[in-house]
Amino acid sequence: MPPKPKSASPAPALQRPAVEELHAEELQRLAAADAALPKPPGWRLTPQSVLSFVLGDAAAGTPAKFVGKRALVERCVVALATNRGLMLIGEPGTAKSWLSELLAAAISGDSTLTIQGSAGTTEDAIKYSWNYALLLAEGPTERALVPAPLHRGMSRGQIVRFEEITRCPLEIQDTLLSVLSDRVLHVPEMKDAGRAVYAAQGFNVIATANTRDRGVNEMSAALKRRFNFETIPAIGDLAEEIALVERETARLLAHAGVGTRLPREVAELLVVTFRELRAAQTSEGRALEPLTTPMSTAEAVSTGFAAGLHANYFGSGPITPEHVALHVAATALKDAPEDLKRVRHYFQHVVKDRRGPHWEAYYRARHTLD
Amino acid sequence: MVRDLILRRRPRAVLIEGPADFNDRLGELRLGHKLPIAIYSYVSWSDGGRQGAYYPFCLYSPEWQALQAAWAVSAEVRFIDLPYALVAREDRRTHRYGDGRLRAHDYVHRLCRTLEVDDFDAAWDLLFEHDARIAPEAVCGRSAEFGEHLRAFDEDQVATYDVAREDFMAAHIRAARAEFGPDQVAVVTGSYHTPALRDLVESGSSEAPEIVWPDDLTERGLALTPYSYERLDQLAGYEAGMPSPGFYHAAWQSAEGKPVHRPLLAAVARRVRALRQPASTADLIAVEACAQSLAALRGHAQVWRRDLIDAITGALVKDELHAAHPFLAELHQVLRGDARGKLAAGSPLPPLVLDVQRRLEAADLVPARAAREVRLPLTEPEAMERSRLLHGLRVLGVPGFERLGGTDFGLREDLSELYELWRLAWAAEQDAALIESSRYGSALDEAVAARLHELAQAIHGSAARGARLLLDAVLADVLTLAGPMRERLTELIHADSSLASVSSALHDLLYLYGRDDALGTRGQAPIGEALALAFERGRWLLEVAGASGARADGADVQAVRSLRDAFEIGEQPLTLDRGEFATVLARVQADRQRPPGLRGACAGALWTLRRADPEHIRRDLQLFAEPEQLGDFLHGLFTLAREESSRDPQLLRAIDSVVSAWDEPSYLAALPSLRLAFMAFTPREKSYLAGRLFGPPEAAAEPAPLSVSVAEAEAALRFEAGLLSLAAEYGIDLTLSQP
Repeated sequence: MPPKPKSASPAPALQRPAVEELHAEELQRLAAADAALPKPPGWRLTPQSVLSFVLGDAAAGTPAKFVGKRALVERCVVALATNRGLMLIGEPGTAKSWLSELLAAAISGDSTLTIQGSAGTTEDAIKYSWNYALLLAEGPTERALVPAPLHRGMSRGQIVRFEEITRCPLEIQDTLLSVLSDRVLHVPEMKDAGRAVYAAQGFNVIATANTRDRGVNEMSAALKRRFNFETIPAIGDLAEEIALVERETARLLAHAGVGTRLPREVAELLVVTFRELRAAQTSEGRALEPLTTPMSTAEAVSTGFAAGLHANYFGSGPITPEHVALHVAATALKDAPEDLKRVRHYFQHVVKDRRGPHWEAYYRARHTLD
Repeated sequence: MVRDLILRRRPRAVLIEGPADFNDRLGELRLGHKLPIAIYSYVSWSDGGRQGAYYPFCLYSPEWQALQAAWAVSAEVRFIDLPYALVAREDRRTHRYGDGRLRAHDYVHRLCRTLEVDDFDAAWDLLFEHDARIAPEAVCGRSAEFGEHLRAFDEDQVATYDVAREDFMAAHIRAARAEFGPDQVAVVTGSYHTPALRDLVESGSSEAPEIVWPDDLTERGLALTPYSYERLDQLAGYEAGMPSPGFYHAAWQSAEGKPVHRPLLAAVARRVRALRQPASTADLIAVEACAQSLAALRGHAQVWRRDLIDAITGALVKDELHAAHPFLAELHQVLRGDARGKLAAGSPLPPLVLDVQRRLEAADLVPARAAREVRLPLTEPEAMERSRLLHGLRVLGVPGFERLGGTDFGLREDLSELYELWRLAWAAEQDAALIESSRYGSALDEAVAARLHELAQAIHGSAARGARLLLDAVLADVLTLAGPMRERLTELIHADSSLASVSSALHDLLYLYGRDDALGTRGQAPIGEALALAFERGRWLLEVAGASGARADGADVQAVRSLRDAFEIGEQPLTLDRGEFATVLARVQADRQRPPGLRGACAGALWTLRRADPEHIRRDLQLFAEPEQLGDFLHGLFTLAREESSRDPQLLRAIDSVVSAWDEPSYLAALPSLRLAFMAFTPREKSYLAGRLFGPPEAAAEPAPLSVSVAEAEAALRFEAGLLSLAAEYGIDLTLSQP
């Protein structure tokens, strides 16, 4: 297979370039520094540099791209260097996929070998399929074979990402079994040499699964055994989460060509609301009724973004607590009337007692939830 | 390492950061105790204040190893820290070798960032612990450097008590240097003090420092007590002690060159398998590989504490990770270790044992071999005092003191005579249990308070059980001391999401705060605080109670009643907000999705609070005109507003008109719940109600008592109704013939 053509001139502008394109310069720099150092076979960077790339490192001049505990990322990197796959689980919106992209880009220089798990995912989309015209004309040859991400990753020694693996039916999930334990992919149609694709050094799988979907297609014990599990928690530190929401909202708004910004106090209000509803506990330690909607950081960012657009197009300037209150219901709460009730309860009993002009304005805006 | 250094250099004097007032009793530490033990130092002042603190020693403590090594080379040993009694006012840490202060230190945060680790423990392990091959001198150098950086960060903010302690320690060092020669003295102290001590020892007099006790000191003392790893490991904020003592113990004991983590991993695997959870050999290989790689990645000389934790987290845990995951709980148990100290025979008894003996003698309650029973009439202050002592021993679980019977303040079924009956008998384990309990404190009250706190920590999310502990605290008279337990109760109330449990707690607190005469708790501020909190929490939970549309059980109605009662007693003294309470009640009452019983209770509560118009209630009655709803609604209404509703004839007529509109089967369907509703009234009240409905009282007079049971009467009515409806099916109308 010819390597994927790298787009030298970024025209037309991409909605979302791949991580390795976005940070190409940084990755090149790290790889050059690592050139002479011992690395796990098949890796482009040393484990240390992978950490620097993901978590940021002032000395290496790399900004942080993922907010989380260092020990967690260390565990992920180590898992990928061993012969087990890495399974990232967590609530929706905790940046599981983002972390897997970062890791794949840093280790293999390619984050695009992606299988999207769904009820309709077939083996063709995971392993390989055929170009039927060629198949009829030439029989099962290399030329007729259309490799899917797993085939490519194995033959090139790269990280393959399997998104939302638990959304696939069990029998599809289990196609990974022999690949992960024997590191070989069988192509029974082919003759002799081509019949088995042995995984080149550097191949591994990062799967992600969403804990909200647990029980939809519970993984088999055999497959579980072949993965190291890592739970990605919500961001633990309030200040970090506020900073992240502020930064990401600003980025989205700038991308949308809107000049409005999320003021610090309003970002705090938004993040505190999300954190308290997510943890089902107020900062004073009072228990709340848990929501069915996951109040993830990603949802907080989209609420901030929506509030920003609203303030820009229909308001008169900066984002206010009213805009936030309006979009908490619209953006975050999806289709769950019970949750709306709980959020109203939250306003009536928690927001009400908070002091400060922003919180008071927020409380006054509670009618938008009705 | 400290030991190696002392054994190799053989100094003539070893000075250790420990309480100087223990110096004349150092011999007690040589008695062959089973570690961990602690020196407990306590102090009380003329203003009634009282405090105590521990200097714990375990096998791997540098202080302990320094002691052992010093004795081995026959060096003079001295504790050189200022006695606890002199710093206790300012420095409240009770774990004197803990490093909770460092955990929150700005420098440590920066150090963690520089070292690329997540927390202080990881930084400490990386700098000092993981590599046994670093020469002791190098570790001393690192430690001093660490101390200097810390101090540089603090600059002028060094606490005055630390300055006083350092002056005192420096004076000791100078005196020892003058006595034994400057290069013959080894000093074992925390790295925070090293830089200051280095400067201070260079100048100043070489007189041994005097200890000057302040005048307001009424009591002070030191005693050895048993300690436990469990207690060392308790991680709590400022008091944070030494995490994972079991791990460091194992690290200390492991032979050179042997991996520390293997036996620990094996222990975890055994425990996990005992839980019938999968931990196959392949899994363990994966853990091992993962741990080795992590150690390599982090630059550890061997697999260390965090590496093992992370490897097990990564390779063995296959579910969503949360703090209470059973595998990790097992792991932490193993890392914590289960060592419990024991004092050698012949050690002086810990102060708690002496305190209890003294108090038992004073109260004439010393148990003898022959059991005896003691009856305590609780209305007499002296008997009350004795009861409190016995309750204290009961909370500590000391055998031989058994409460046979008497007034139960938990159930409060019979408060007509307040007494208690206790059985006292000598039991072999009594002293052992007290010595064991002395890890809770040096005096009975203190120990009981600490034990209650421990019990409270073990409760999860049940305010009701927390309130019961508060009752225990009242019975043992340690309410003021039991601050941490009350804080925990606050947490429990906040975190409880069951209305029934909060209401039960409210019920208990209400009794203690508003109605109790025997225990002397009426109107006490700490109980009031808890009551106000429970009220607020209950109000909050009321708003979501029964929202799923489930039928209200009696508990919901009782909860509204407890809330209303708490409000009536607490409105003035606790400044509870009437408007807020009424708003919540009104919202619940108006919510069509709530069960009718709950809505009725809320309506009743509003009525008694004068926040509801009887006219509205009568109108609302029409909303509950369905047979399956009316009884429940009235049950709630009557339970809360018995007086009001019995004085409102129009309400009764409204009910009558609803009921009269039903046909026979509907009436029978509603009968049980209606009967339950009217149970709120006494028979006489019911008779008056009936009189209002059917005519003047003299006409109705006392209702003739039924000659059969109610159940039989109901069965007869049912039969009659069945008969009538059967007849009606055949076109025969028998109802006309009814009288």
